[in-house]
Amino acid sequence: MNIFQKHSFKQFFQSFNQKLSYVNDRFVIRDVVFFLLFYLYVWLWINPALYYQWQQPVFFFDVTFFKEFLIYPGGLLEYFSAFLSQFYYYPWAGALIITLILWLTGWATRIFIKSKSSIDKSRLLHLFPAVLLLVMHNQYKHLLATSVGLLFLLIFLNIYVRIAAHKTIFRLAVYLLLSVILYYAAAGTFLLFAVLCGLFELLLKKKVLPGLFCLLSAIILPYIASVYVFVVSMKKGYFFLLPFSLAYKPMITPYLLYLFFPATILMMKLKKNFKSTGAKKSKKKSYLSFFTIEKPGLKFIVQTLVVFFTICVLVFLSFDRDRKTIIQVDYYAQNEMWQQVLQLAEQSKTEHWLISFHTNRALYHTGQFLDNMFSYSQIFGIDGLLLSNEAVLYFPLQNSKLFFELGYINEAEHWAHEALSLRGETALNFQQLALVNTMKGKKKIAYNCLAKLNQTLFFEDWIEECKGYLYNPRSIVNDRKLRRILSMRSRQDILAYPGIAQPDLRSILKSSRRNKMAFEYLVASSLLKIDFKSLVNNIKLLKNFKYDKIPQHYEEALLLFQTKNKLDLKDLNISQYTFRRFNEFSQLLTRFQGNTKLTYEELEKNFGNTYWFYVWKNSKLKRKG
Amino acid sequence: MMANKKYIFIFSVVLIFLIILFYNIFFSNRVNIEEFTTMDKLPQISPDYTDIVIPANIAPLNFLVRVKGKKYYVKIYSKNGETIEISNKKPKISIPIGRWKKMLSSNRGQKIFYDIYVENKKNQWKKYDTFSNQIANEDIDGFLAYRLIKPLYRHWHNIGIYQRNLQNYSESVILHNRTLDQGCINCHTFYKNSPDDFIIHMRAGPGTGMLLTQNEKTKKVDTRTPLNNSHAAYVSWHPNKKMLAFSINKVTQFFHAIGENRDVIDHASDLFVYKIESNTVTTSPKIYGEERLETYPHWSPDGLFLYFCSAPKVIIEGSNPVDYKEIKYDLMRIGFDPETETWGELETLLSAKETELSITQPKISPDGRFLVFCMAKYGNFPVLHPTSDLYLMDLNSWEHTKLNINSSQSESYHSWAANSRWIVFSSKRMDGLLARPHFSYVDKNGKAHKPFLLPQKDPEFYTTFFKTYNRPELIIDPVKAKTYNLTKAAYNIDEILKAKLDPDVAQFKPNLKSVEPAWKLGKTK
Repeated sequence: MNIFQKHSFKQFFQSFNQKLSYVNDRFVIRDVVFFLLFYLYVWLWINPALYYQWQQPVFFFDVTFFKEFLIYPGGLLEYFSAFLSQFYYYPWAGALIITLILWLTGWATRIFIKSKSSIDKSRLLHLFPAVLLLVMHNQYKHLLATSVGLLFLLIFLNIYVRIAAHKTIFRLAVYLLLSVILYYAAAGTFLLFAVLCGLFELLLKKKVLPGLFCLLSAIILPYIASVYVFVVSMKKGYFFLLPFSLAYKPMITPYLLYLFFPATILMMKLKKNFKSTGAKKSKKKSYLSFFTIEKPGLKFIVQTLVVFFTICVLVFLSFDRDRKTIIQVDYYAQNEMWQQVLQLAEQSKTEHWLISFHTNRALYHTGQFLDNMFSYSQIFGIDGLLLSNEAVLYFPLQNSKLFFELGYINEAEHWAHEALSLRGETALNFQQLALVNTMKGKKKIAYNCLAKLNQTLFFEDWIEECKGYLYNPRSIVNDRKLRRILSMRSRQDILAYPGIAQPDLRSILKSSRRNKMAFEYLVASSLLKIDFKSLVNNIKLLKNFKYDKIPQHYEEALLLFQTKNKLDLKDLNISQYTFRRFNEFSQLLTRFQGNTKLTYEELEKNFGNTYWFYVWKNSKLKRKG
Repeated sequence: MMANKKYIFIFSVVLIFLIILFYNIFFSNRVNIEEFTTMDKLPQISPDYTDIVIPANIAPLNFLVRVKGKKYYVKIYSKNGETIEISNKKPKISIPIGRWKKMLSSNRGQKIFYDIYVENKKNQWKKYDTFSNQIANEDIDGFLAYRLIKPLYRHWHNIGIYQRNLQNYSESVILHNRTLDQGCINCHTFYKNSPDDFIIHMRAGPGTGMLLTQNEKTKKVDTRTPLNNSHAAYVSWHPNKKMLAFSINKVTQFFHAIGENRDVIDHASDLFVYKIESNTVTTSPKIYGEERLETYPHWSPDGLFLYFCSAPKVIIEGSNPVDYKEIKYDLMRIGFDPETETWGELETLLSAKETELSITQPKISPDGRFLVFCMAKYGNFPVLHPTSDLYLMDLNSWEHTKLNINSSQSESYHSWAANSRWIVFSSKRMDGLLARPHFSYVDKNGKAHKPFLLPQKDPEFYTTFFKTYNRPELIIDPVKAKTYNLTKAAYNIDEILKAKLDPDVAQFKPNLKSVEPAWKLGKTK
């Protein structure tokens, strides 16, 4: 017997029709369209893969990893968020997760607003938190845990509001239970919950004592937890996981987001008051009658368009393009997509030493370093070539990669470990450590790194490849990059000291004479430091690396040096092309003598990609300085 | 009628489910091995717990059978008591704690035996050679205190000092830098294996200083004076509980391009004594001065001698690798009268010239019979030297021998149990990078027995645990001082106890200028 036989066909059709009418509800369709647009925006414009690159979220399928999150308030939320944010690895999946959380936040807000008041007849107010969360994602700093925390808070708030009709003692008992759960799971997020429940009791239910109880719990509960239960600082005990307590300084958006909910309760209260005084209501209506659109269809379209454009403006204004460029360059460099690095560096106007750092790496790897480096911005000088002491604290893994490419495996190991300390046990850090230890022949530790990596998703193929090298170390030579690095390994001991993050290129070259990358980086550093003495001294090394001709910028530097000094180039020649260009450069300089602005413009236009322009610009800056 | 059928269907489904569940819990892992072939070799197990001496109060030694198979069966038996049988489809062998404890306590001084059977793909059982564990008559101290850190290079973030109950697997925090603005905490040192009296050093965070805890009360002490204007490093409690000997060290860290990556040397170091009651720092020209580097102080159990390591100062020019390799420490001691607080004569017990190795970290057994120390090719930071091994000196004969518990990797920081029969030491034998605590039974003749690794509930725990166990210290009971009180004392800047300089040594010239720490707190984004 068919279970549907109990219902008549007519009944079934009616219920289906009802569902269809719900789908046809213009408000629902509007919501669907908005969130679909949010999804596309996050997927195609923000690109969660860039979040993955920047934040390196990690989730290990391991009991020890889970236990670490149980020992402090907010840990559970971090654990759950770590699970979700690992999917940022795939942009479409990351976008789906972010959009889903935005939608659920909007949905929970809607339920809360609907529960006690009719303040949102236009059914747009619930979009406000979702839009603010979207705006917060524009900064590439936002942690998923804060979004998930807000969502949990709203779910708990709705549960509390649902039991509003029950007796006070029951309500407070439920409140206490919810508070303890929420505080343990989401730490500081609980504060807003306590405030909202307190305001709800005081303003909407007009219950003073329960209201004060809720507000007081916001002070007492985190205190007890910090002092007697968990090993956390008082600051973390109260504010952990609130956006403004995190390491970065957020803009006004999170404050607006967190003020939205108390403001909503206040609006509910005002609405209640208006309702009870009918005269005021009619008076209010007359003030606004000028703006009122009577036709509901037109009203809906106008409201939707206004909100849509407001969202567009907000999103446009808050988007951090510079940061996106920096992360994108970092992402391409991580994946050794050197052409894309150069393309982006050329197109973008963003100036950042990380961009210069990766651009220079890309130039080396595409074989055009000493010929083309001044075609790209070298505004940061040596700090754009090698990361400074301060920069390495933020980008230790990137520094490790540079050392690795330079064949300085021990320093690559050193900085991979610093990355582990500074940025945590992330998949990318373990990947680098596994590779470094494979190259060092430290099989055991390399296997352990792979075992750790194996507890994450997405790295299976890479693990298998690396295991292949471990089982058969000779197979390393089949990989062009690794073979090159192996051939460039240091053969003499070099001592590196803490506090000097930049590599001692001269010593690296000394310990491995065929290290072309170290040579080119040494020349590049001399060029950037305008150190002619070093450039002249290193001419003799050119023959070790089988150059067809002297690299362009090296030639430019030597020619410049030759104008005032005697220089023995031995059997090397400076090309006629460089001579001709230098004459043109000198003529231009003489022609516009005295007019610095015009000189700058003309020189940049015609010789912006030469070493001469770099030297001229720096000498001007020096004089100004 | 329909309703009855529906209920019968649901009931049947639930019953089948329950039967499957019951079978899985009680019978699926039961094996009945009637036929098997013997392998005539020991099974590969990890960690290696074969033929070791264990204390009766140790947690179950769970292990992994490193043989491929589809089923595993382990029988653990002894002279007295019940046999423990474990079968598993996976090679992880978890021993039930209650039955294990019972077996160990009823077989003190006896052996327990392990039979391991593995079933292969062809449904054939193979039995490996039986191996045993000797249960010692003497227990080990109940708890182990250690610092957990990342394989530290220069920058740190999360550092915690923990205590682990050795009778089970529970671990708790003594102090964590989560509550200390991520400052560094180090060098936890206990008074005679007692959890009531101990010190912990702090760097950065709420302010550098020494947290001195006595009977659950903690105060923060700044041991710096005009003479020792650098903070205390290695500490040893005097047996009278009234004094602490400490070193101050000017440390330089550097990294090699070949071989072991990290290295540390002292450019200068001296020894001092902090008198707790009078809050005074004193020293003697015999252990203080520019000519030599004195470090690693350790009081003899009778309190009449201060043992330490000392090397002539080598002037290091630039980064010449030859220079620092010349720094080799002698083992020395100096007499001390605790009543009159007067210093005796210096004695060289073992010189680096004789051994051609550098001697560090001397620790005397509480019964005063043996001294265990490290020797490595050079320097004073044995944890970074794969050449570092443990040696034992018989304080009756003054003969020293290399212990047979060493590996090709670094063996370093060690601590004695209160009954002098057990030592715990840091060993990097597992992977060459991370130090893990190993225990060894030292019998009355000074023979150290095959060491075993600190057991974990999950035998694969160490494979993916990327923290190093630093300074393992055995303590009899758990530390009772509350983390919150330690943290509170750390932040209590107003009541920091500033040590005074003994007027008798005030005329000495300061030897060490304030030192920049070799390791730095990392700033994360």
